[in-house]
Formats: sequence, structure tokens, C-alpha cells
Amino acid sequence: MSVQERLDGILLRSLHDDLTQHFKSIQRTFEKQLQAATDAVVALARDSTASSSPAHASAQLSVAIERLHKIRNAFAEASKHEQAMVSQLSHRIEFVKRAEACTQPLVQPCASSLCSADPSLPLTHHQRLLRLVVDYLLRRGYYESASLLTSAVGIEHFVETPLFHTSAHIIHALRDQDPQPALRWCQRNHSRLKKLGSTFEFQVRLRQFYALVGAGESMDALLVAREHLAPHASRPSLLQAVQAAMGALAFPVDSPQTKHQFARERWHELVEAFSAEMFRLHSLPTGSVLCTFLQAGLAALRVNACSEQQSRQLSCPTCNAPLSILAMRVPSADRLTSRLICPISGTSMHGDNYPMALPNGHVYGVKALEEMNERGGHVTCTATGADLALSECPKLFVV
Amino acid sequence: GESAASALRTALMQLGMNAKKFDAAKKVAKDRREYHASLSKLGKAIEKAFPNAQPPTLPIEQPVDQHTLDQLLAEEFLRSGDEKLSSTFLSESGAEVDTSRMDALITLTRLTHAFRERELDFLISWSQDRQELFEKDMFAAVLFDLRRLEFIELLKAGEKNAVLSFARQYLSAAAFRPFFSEVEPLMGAVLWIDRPELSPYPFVKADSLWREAEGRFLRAVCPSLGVPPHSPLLVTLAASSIALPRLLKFASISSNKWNGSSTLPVELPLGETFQYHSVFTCPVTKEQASASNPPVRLKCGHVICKQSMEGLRRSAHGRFKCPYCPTEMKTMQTQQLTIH
Repeated sequence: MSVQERLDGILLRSLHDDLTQHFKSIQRTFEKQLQAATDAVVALARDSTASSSPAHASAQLSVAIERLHKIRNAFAEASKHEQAMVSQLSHRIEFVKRAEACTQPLVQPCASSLCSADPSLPLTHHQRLLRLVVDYLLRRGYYESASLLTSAVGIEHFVETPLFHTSAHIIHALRDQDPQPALRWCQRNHSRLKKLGSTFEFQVRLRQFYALVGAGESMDALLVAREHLAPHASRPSLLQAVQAAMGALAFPVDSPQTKHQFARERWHELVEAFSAEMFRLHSLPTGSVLCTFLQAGLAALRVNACSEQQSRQLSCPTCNAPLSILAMRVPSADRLTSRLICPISGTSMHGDNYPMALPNGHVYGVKALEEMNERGGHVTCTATGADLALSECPKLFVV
Repeated sequence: GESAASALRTALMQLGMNAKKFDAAKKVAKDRREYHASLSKLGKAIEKAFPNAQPPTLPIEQPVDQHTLDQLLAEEFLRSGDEKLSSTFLSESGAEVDTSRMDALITLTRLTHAFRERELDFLISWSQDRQELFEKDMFAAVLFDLRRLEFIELLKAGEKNAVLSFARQYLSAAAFRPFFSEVEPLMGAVLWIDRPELSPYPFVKADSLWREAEGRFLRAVCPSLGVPPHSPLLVTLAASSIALPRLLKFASISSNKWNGSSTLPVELPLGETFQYHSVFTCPVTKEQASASNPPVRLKCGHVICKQSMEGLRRSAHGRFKCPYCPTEMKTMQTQQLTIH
């Protein structure tokens, strides 16, 4: 299974999990609500006050009807959302089928741009590459660019745009040191987070605690500690954090032992923790997959010559900025056999076109040199311009 | 009065009983049971088709620098010709592309667009106005390509006189003397101008001539523009689809983290089309040559890297022997080589 196919699978599974979750929550909510509504009507029937006064009965019935309407509307809303998810899931499945049916082999890309359609690139492959780019744009927070690119290629169903928009709101708040949206998110996803063994909510509450301590609101901090930190003390990994937090109450705000807890960076770390947790929750990759793909491509492409100025080739991706900068952090692959290319003809120097050396040390294929010899009766040295006989050029034996 | 009250009581009791019997909560649950069953069946099918699919990760110490990647994407979007996209991205990301590079990319986009839309007039006049931008020995070939395509368009239009006068005016130019052998089939095709479907010359219908012309044109112009004709991002991603599976497999058995100075003991062959450089690997050490360790020709013609040769020399004190044949030599009988 190719890596792109794996990603197809990950996207399918993630959406299916979300859909199942949504389905279950609809089930729970509406079963509860309908049961309550039914019970209320049954209770009304037994209520002696109602059976004796028509006005009272009529009022109660109106309330019951109102309640049922509300439930119906909410259910319709939730169903619509569910329907949208189902539709998106079916689009993704269709894509997988189309990709599977595509038998066109991948050839050397000859498009001048990743974004423009190219006959050498099958549509499904093109869309898969672009979804990596859009995913990166969303992770960076470039929402407008992501939206433009998404609609240009028709990959709306494969990118998690709504997810990133929700998370942007939460991240923005956390950067402003406001934990409320994050806490609401924790509540909405409480059971799933619990199943994952997540400590994120604890971390947010801890930040909230320290913020209150830092602001001098010791009593409020204590309340937060009692209600939200203490319950987690049973977990050995968190107990120390709780104790440290309580200890911080004893010190003045600017004391060296606790100063770091009030730093801005702690909130940035919380942003990172949130991102990671959100991706984990939805079974999506934590980091940008585009970066992984780039690293692999660069590792395979780079050779020692790329870092040397005199051997720079215009078309080599790893020779030129900006990719050359990224290539420096990536390991290179083993190259166990020599592969020489004649600079004149551009063809491989092996077999019939064996390599030969000029007196200046430059290496060319014998065919190109013979051609030069035929045209002019001699070979011209590329560096000095001197004319030489072909016989002066030694043949090379490259293993 | 009394009967109305009892009627009300009965009606309410009936309502209560009906509500209980109807059991709305259970009904909703039942209705959705089939839906739930399909949903979980689908889940199982997905898991079966993509067993435990995990996202790919490589154990590389330093993550990809995001500012540089933004830079790469900025250039990529400039190549796309989608002005709104590239300007939106530049403002959202804050990436900066210097003016000359931006101009070069915009020019490249314009040219590829012209080829896609087959704007021959534009391409010919553009080339003639900027002859100095072309690699010196390629200008004539490029111009010939374009004139040939123009000729074919006239041929398709079926105007015999126009075709012949065009040929006399343009194809017989002195500069095109080296391509005379290619003019011959063009003139031959004129015989079938009235019945193109019978023409034995396939090029009249083929798109491949356009693709070749575009390839040659861009190869001739791009060196002076300073940008590669093909998207480097696309090339890298294409290389990745070949190399990544192998690299991931290797990563699963490698225990340490990789960095930019490591050479992984795994080969990632990409095929000839991805080869942009000559690579010399010393047959003795199996290491790539570099500027500090260039290839060296021994007296016999065998080539090894400089460090290997120094190794042989040191342990031999004076004349040393080639590792692959009985030839003996002194250092001055060897020659340092340069490969591109």
C-alpha cells in the first residue's frame, strides 16, 4: 500500500470516527430529551390539577408541544450536519475508487507548476499532492490561500477546513491567555479525550490556576485547584504538578522558584499541546505530511555535488535555493555505483560511450569527443581552448 | 360541568397512555438501528481496506524550516499563473521573493501559458526581441521549431499558396540550413494537403511536436532567467513517491535520529530521469567523490578517489599498484579529474 493510499485510509477512518461519534451523541441527546418529554406528558396525564382545570391543562399541553417542536428542530439541525458528514465521506470513498482505477503510471513530471494541471499527472495523483499543500497551509494559518487553492483543484472534501477554523479560534484565545474556548472544547469532547488518556484539560486548568496566582487572586486559584486539579491527583504523573502548583501559592509572584510558571511561553506550549491533542483526537497526522514527503525526496535527490558551487545545475532541485536550504538538514542516501553523464551530449557515459579524460582533467564521453574530432579534425579543450588529438585523451575505466 | 371535567380527565389519561405506548425515545433508537449497523459495517470495511494505516514519519533531528518552505511555496504559486493565489499567499505568509526572481517566474509562467494556448505569434515576436536571452547555439533551433509549427498550422488550414509562400519566405532562411533534412518531410506533407487523413506524415496531427518545442524553448531560455523550467517542488514530490516507501522501511529498523551530515546505508534509486549530476563512487571505499576528495585517474586508466590513492601510496613508499590490475605507478603518473 503506497503512502498516499495510507493517507486516503487515514482520512476515511478519521471522518468515519467523527461521524460515529456524532451519531452516538445525537442518539444520547435525543433519546434523553424524548424520554423526558414523554415522561412529562405521562405525568401531565396523572396530574390531578390538570384534569380539573382545562386552562391549566391547555397551558401544560402548549408547553409540551413547544418542547417537542424544539426537539424536532434541534434534531433536524443535527441530522443536516450528519448528512453533510455522510456526503463528505462518500466523496472520499469515491476518490479512493477513482484512484484505484487509475492505471496511468507516474512519469517524470514536466509541469512548470504543481498547481497547474498537466497531462503527465493523473488527476487523482495531482489532487493528492495538492491536499498535502493545503494541509500545510491550514496548519500554518494561511486560511485564505488554503481556500483559494482548495477550490481551484476541487479538493474541498479532503481537507479538514472546519476543523482548522475551530482550532484557530481556540489557539487565538490561548495565545491571549484565555482558556475558556479550550475548556469548552474539552467538555465537548470529554469522553473521547478520556478514552485517549488525555491530560490536556488538566494542563489548561493548571495554566488557569497559575494565571490566577500571578494576578494575586489566591482564593480563586484555590477554588480552581480544589475543583479541577485535585481530582487528577490520583494519577501519579500529575500528582507532582498539583503539589508544585499548591506550593507556588506560598511564594511571591516574582520569586525565582516559580517565576517561569508565569511566563508567556507556557501559554505557547499549551497551544502546541492543544494542536497535538486535537490531531490525536481526530486520528489525523500530528505533523505536516508535506514536510515528510519533502524530506524523503530531498534525501533521495541530493548528492555531494549539490553543495559545491561549480557543479550547480539549474534543474537540480537540491542545488538551488530554497530547496537547497531544506536539503542541508536531511541525510543523503548511499550511492554505491558511479553514474557519469557526458556534459556535452547529456547521455550516460558507460558501455559504448565510455568516459575519456582531457589533459585538463575534465571528463567527456567518447562519442561526443569523436563527433568533435570528425567535425574539426581535432578535439578542443574546453578550458584552455587548445587543440588536441583524440589519441592524447586517455580512456577511463570506471567500475 | 361534571361531564366536561371527566371528559377532560379521560382525554388526558388517553394522551398519557398513547405517549407511553408510542415511546418516542425507543422509536428513534429503533429507526436508527439499521443506520448504525451500516455505519459500523462501513467502519470495519475501512479498517480492512486500510489496516492500521499510520501517517509516515522520518526520524530526522531538525524539522523542516517553515519559513524556507513558505518561500518555496511562494515561488510555486508564482509559477501557477494564479495571481490572486500568489498575492494572497505572499501577504498571508509574509514570505519575500526578490524582484528579479519574481520577474523571471512571471515570464516563465507567461511563456508556458503561451505554449499551452498555442500563441505562436507571441512566441515568435518575443523570441526575436530577446535573442540574447537564449543559449547561443540554441536560438536557431528554437526559432525553427516555432516556424515549423506555424507551417503545420497553415497546412491544416489547407491553403496551398499560403503554405508554399511561407516555406519560401521562412523555411529556406540561411539560419535554418542545418535543419534542411527536417524541412523535407514538411514539404512532402504538402502533397496531402487536401487529404490530411491519408497523410503518411504523423506530425501533422501530433501534439508531441508542441511538447518538444516547449521543452527546447524553455531549456534555451531558463539559464538566463535563472529559474528551472520544471517545478522543483513537483520534482521533489515525484522523487519522494519513489523513495519514501523504501526510506520508511529503513527508518523502522534504524534506531537513531538522522541529520544533514549523515549518509544513510540505504540506496534510494530514482532512475535516470531524476539524475541531474554525475556521481562518482570510489570502487574501493564505496564513497561519493567530493571537492575535497575528487576522482583520480591512475596510470592504467582505472579511476579511484584521491584519498584511496593516497592510502595506497602511503603504505607502498614510492611506486604503488592499481587495486584492479598489475600496473605500477608513481603519483605524478596519475591525473586528478573533474566531473560535473
